[in-house]
Amino acid sequence: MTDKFSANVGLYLLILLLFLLILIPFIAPKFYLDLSTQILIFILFSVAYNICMGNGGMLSLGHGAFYGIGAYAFALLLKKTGAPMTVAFIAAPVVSGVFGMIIGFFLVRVGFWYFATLTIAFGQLIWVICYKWYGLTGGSNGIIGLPLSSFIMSKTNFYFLTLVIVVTSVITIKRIMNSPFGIMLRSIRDNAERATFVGINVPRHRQFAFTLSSFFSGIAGALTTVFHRGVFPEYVAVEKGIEPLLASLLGGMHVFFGPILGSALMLSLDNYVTRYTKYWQLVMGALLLILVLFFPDGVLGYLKDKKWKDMLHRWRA
Amino acid sequence: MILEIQNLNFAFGGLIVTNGVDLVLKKGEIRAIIGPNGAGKTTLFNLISGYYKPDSGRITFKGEDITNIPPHQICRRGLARSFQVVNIYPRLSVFENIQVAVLSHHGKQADIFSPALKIFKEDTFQILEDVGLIHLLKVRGDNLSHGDKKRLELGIALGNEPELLLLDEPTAGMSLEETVSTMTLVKDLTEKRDLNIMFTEHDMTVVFGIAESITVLHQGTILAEGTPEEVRKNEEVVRVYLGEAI
Repeated sequence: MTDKFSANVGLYLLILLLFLLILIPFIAPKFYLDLSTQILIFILFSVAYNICMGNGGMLSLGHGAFYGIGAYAFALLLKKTGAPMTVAFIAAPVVSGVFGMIIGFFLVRVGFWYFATLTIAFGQLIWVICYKWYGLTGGSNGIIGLPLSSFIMSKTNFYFLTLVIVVTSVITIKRIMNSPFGIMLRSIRDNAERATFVGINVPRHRQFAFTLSSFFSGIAGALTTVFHRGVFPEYVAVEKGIEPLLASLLGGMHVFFGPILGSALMLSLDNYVTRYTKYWQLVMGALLLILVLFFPDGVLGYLKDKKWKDMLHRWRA
Repeated sequence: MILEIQNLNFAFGGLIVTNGVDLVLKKGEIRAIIGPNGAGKTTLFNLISGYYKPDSGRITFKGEDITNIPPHQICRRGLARSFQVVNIYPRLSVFENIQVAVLSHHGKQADIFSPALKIFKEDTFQILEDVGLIHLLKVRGDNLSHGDKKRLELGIALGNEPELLLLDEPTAGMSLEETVSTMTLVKDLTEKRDLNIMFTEHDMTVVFGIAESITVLHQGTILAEGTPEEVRKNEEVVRVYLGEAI
């Protein structure tokens, strides 16, 4: 293998993966098409979440709120204002982002644990509004019967739309994380005090990261709404916000592709395990336990640190 | 005159830590701040760099009042500092550790589209070379030895191209060889980069070796100030701090 090839091996793998993703609607049964669509949406949510967690060192436990706001904003715009679908789809993440910016303003000035606690508080607040305000949000019934175009109702079309949106968003996020802004965000994660003393406005930087994260979570929320043909209060729940955290932990939150792998693994396992047992959460719980105890950096983090090479070496010796 | 401090006061609750400190730093000067533990040396640095707000008094940097502006803005005006306890970015590489400061200095905080790996590479390499860490540029911060971490801290502070550098015990915890090489480095940098340096230090060989002037702090007030020779001969200083050692 030449050096040039091995240096670009990651890129080739990605292109191969993308090629496979394009093939899915033509070769896979309908069930897998649905699963793939869900995985793609979840990937976007996790990658968006990881802007905060892995890059910003901000443990958000209320990210369901931003996912949900995107979903509700999209549904409400369609249903109540009769806005065209494209407009509603573009506006939804913006609404999420604005909420993220406002809520972020209050959050970014406090320490790690207070931050986490406050995200739950804000998450619950948004959830209560969605769950109880029947007049606006349909309460526990959610909002169904959205006027979606027949183009988007086709599962194959929607799959491709999702693929394009998710891939574009993920590439955009990757670019932002590799920008000066991204490096500074990671420097704040590592040591906020030091970052202040190299001239970084830490609260503002964090707030912007939180806003970005909310914005992209909102896109994922709006996509889910189309997928399920409606919105339900579960989207806003704190449990929903935990899912991308688990995916990030599983794949490795300090590696950009960690949450992507984690999301795919999590949903695939979910589908696979539920065929055999009702206790899918039990399996997930056990998996997490093993992960946190033995592979705290996640699957990709473990592979990247090349610890497995040491292990292999020791085993051989 | 680069830095001027007038009648600076600061207290933690009832404990007065800085008591009417007046200090003037001339351009091009290397100043050591010495004094026993608890004399208020680190607090003085924290006040100058904006980490604490003084209760009263005035701090002027390059003729501008910086008394009540936030630390990141003081830094942007050209006043950088290092810390007594190693204070680096443990998960970032040595290169990134320094590049963050360089990018920040060039006002790239809001740049979300340029690939960071390709910009201000030369500036970052220059600093890495200056502090002697160029061979370790890909190593993660937390995998460095203690001496290299302290050097990295110095590098981070240089990334802001400061005019005044506050070094809080730059050689704390270093071996004798590391101390000597670090202080030679600091001295070289001062000349090369046209820096003003103010540092605290417990190692008197270092202090008398490189400082051009010395301020002695004791219980929050200035006990003596002058050239190393004058300070060494000051009876009061000898009594409270230097003792029989010198």
